[in-house]
Amino acid sequence: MWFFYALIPCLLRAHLSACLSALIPDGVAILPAPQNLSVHSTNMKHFLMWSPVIVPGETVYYSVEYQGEYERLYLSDVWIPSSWCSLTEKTECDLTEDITATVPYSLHVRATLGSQTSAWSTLTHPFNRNSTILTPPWMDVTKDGFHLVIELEDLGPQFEFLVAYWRRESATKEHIKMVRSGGIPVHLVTMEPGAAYCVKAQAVVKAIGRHSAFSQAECIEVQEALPLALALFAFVGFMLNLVAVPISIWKMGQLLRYSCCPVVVLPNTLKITSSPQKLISCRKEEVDACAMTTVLSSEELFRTWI
Amino acid sequence: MKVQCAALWLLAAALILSSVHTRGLRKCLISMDTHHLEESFQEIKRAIQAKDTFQNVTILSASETLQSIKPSDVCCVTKNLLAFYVDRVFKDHRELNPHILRKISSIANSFLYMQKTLQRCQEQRRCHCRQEATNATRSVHENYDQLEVHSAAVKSLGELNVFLAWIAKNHQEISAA
Repeated sequence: MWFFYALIPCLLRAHLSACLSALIPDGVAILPAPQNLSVHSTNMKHFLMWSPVIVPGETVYYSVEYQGEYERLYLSDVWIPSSWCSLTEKTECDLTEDITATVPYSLHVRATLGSQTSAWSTLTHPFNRNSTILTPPWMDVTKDGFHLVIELEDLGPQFEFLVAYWRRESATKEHIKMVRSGGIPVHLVTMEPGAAYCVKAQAVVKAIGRHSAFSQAECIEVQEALPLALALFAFVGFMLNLVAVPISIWKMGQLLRYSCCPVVVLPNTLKITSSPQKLISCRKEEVDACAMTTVLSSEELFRTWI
Repeated sequence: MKVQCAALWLLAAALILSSVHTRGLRKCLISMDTHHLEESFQEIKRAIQAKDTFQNVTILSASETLQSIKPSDVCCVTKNLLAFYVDRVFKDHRELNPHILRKISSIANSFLYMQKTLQRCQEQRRCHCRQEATNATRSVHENYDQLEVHSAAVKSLGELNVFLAWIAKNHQEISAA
């Protein structure tokens, strides 16, 4: 009632907004508090989101604080400023580094514009990180020769992966391997030639005692060893090589020998037999003249020349 | 005949005793990775220990108290020391630095989660407190009470690495319990 009576002079003077400011202590909010708070959490990444506070022509900033169950039970007046969201322009806050225990966390956010601050707007139900949505992990299944290799997505240090693999024709015989971290290729098994192997994986988070659904199975085949015809061809080629290579080496040796140290061979016309002979057959009248002529062997010739 | 009966009775008694003993040895494990807690503490260790002005005194008495705890007393001592930190140390220490406050909050809330895990063991009567275990934790409280409360809280916070290492060592999942 007293409020209304105090307001009458102001109303008469038609300065309602000024009167309201006069009645409200300085610095306290007429700035509306953010609404529609919600938490979106996937694969242990937690985001608080809210609707923006619209003030035409102005940039509104937001601050987020949190309170773990410990603070709520033992230190109820203590709220902790979030690591990344003090006076942020965004209407969402990454709380992954703040929500680090598997207990309920209370969250609140307020808006700030210059010297004005809104009231705190609190999340209706405290958030526990064990309610995070865990998605089947992305995986890349490859073969390196006969080795089956898997690489899983890197979801951070809190994640491990349970990998199941089996031969396609014996789907009931599953093998399990725990992969401690993603982002690194891991060898699963050495495959038998001609067989197909299938792989699926799920993410495991020990901190919250939960795991994701399995990913879709991916299958990979290994080729047979070389077909028979190809093997035969390879064998024949190998045998030919066994023969051709020594012959080539011998021929090369000969070539080298002839290039470096050729053997001097007289043509047949200059060859002389061991005893000197009359080479020129003469008619009778020329016998004497011919008889005077003797042919020397190459050695005698050489000696006389020296 | 009498000898055979006596032998059978002895065998039965031995079997009963061994099953009781095995049940007692079956550890109540905190299946939680304490590695991230040790990392959190490492980030603030220097700042916390720098505030400790009583260097010659220790509250947890690591070399005497914790190392001599028997496996059958691990659950009880863990439960008691978690309560010591949650009910006394974290409350008595008021931190103003936001970075240190976040790390202490992370450890405190994790301790709360560990207490809930051990609570389940207690309900299954797998966390029995023998006199030795009770004496060990009483001496920790007595050491704490001898100092002024804020100094005691700072000193106990500074010894968190001792407690965390002890938890990591004693709560390993060595075999299926």
